[in-house]
Amino acid sequence: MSQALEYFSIGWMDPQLFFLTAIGTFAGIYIGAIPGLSVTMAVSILISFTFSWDVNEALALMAGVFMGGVYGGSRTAILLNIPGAPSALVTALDGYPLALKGDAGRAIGLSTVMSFIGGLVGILILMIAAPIISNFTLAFAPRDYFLLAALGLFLVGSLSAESLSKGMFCGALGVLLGMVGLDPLTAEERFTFDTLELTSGIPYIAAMIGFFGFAEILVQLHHLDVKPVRQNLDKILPSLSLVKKYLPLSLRTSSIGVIVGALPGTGGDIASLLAYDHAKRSVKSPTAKFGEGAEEGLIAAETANNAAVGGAYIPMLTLGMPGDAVTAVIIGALFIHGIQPGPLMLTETPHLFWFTVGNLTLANLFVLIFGLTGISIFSRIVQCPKGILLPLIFVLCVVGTYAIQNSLIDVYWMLGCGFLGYFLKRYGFQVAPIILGIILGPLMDVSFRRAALSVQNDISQLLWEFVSNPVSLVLTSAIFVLLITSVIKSRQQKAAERAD
Amino acid sequence: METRTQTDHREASARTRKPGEHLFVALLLLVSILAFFLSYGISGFASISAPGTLPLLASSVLVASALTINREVWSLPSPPPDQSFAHMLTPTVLINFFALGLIYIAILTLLGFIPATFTYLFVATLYLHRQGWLLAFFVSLNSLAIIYIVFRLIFKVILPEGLLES
Repeated sequence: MSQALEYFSIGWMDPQLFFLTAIGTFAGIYIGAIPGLSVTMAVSILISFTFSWDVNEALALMAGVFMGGVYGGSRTAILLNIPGAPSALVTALDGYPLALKGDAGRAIGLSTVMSFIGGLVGILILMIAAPIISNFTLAFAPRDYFLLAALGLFLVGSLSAESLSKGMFCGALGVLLGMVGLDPLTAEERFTFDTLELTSGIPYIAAMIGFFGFAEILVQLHHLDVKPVRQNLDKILPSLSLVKKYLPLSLRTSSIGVIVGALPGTGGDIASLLAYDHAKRSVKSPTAKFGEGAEEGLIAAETANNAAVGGAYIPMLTLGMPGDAVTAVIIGALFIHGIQPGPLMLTETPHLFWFTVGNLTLANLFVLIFGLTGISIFSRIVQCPKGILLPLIFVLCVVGTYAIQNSLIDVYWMLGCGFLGYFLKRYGFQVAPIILGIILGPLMDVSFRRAALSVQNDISQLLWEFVSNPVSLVLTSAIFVLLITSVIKSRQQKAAERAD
Repeated sequence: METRTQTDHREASARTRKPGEHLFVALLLLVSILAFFLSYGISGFASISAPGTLPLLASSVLVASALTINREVWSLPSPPPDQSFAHMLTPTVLINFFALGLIYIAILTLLGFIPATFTYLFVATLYLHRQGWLLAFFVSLNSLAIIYIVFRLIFKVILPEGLLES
């Protein structure tokens, strides 16, 4: 135990490691906040110049960037309705309406504290229950990943405020857009129209910037004369009583975040979505309607995506399997340093496990410190006259999209998605399900087909497996319950509208 | 003062069809049907692990939901006569801004990032903000400097290089 504590505190005691974690977290927050600069990209770049460093120094910097980046994505989601990262998509649903009401400072303050709590829960579970959770996630078969992704898509359908069918339409459209390009299993072309540019698919970051950023610019052009809402910056730091009030919810959503984050191939995006749905269903009287500035929605999304960081480290450190894209890159970095993460890591190299845990805890603390600084400057962005702000955001959209793979084709994709997103928004569709569909589509596709291949394409056997395995049964039941309740709710809503 | 959310609520609570909405949802249905046939074209109903299975499933959901949306929208009362498509969806400022954006992307490859971005920011700010060219000039210069420092100098992002620049 004392040895574990000693390893845990290495990053805290060594000034150089302490500084590297701090600088990594600070940079991560701003990388995460800028659309087009992804944490995965940043960590990949870090490998190129940290491979000659000591492994502890490299890991310290990467942990900081990872932790800070996941949190940073919420900044632009709240202020500009442009999520800095896919894990911040759900944050925008209630964060942006809060900024429109003049509560951007409060929203950022709350999201910072809750991200800290979420991160802490993730690390605590990583510390205490890593082997148990790893074994649980190993029980997930391809069909379960398919069901999990399908559940995510049904959730997005229910997120669509105006109509269930509009939510389903956008989710399905997203899945289809995610199918464009070469089939990952057979390399067969799908929806490419024999065009070379379409073989690599539609870059989801470009789509995300288009559907959220550019579409929002076009919507805002209708409100050029509306004076910007004055942001209330008096109470940025949430009170202790407020934190206490939301603690039960944040602990529940953090747990969802850790479990989803620990599933190989999933990440903060699905975690925040499931947590948001949990909050929507469990909170009876939110501060505002969900999707219109409910603090509970913001808390659910932010705790879950930061808790998913700790979750993503669980399969990486205990099984050698990446929990998400960033941990896949970090595994690469460990290999470069001659370290093989896996089941033997806890026994053969416990110092590395406990050092990583200690380092993530330190990075999480820096998220709280750096996250609470600069809020007033950030919040003033939304007070800037729209005539100045909108061209600047457009340039950021162009540069952010171009930065993904230095291609102007991506910029045209961004424009096209933004234009479609504008019309969809004006006609009462939500664009978040499209993005989630693009992200979840490939996971659904590969998982479903692997599940089908495992039963030799026998559809009845596949359907039986959906209900005969405990994990699959829980997920299948959840989908059905969700679908039925959503249909009932939608019908009740329509009946109420007719009665009005 | 009315915020955007309030405006949206007012629009939603009117419960009439928005201008052009019926044509838009009809177009979505057409695209959905096309997507269904394209999905079928990938591998037909060959097997459940074929590359076309999930696209077929997704496009079926697309068609079904598009049909429901069409039924919902076509049953709504027509939009009030004072609401026009041009006013609600394509005001002049939006068309001009979109055109400016297209021109900016076109000149990016000709002039390169710095001159093209400065020109775009200056013209767009002058057009949208209408507070004189001096303010537009300094705002554009500052914005460009910040973007260049953050993206190019700090994060080493490659920015578009124009024909003249190279």
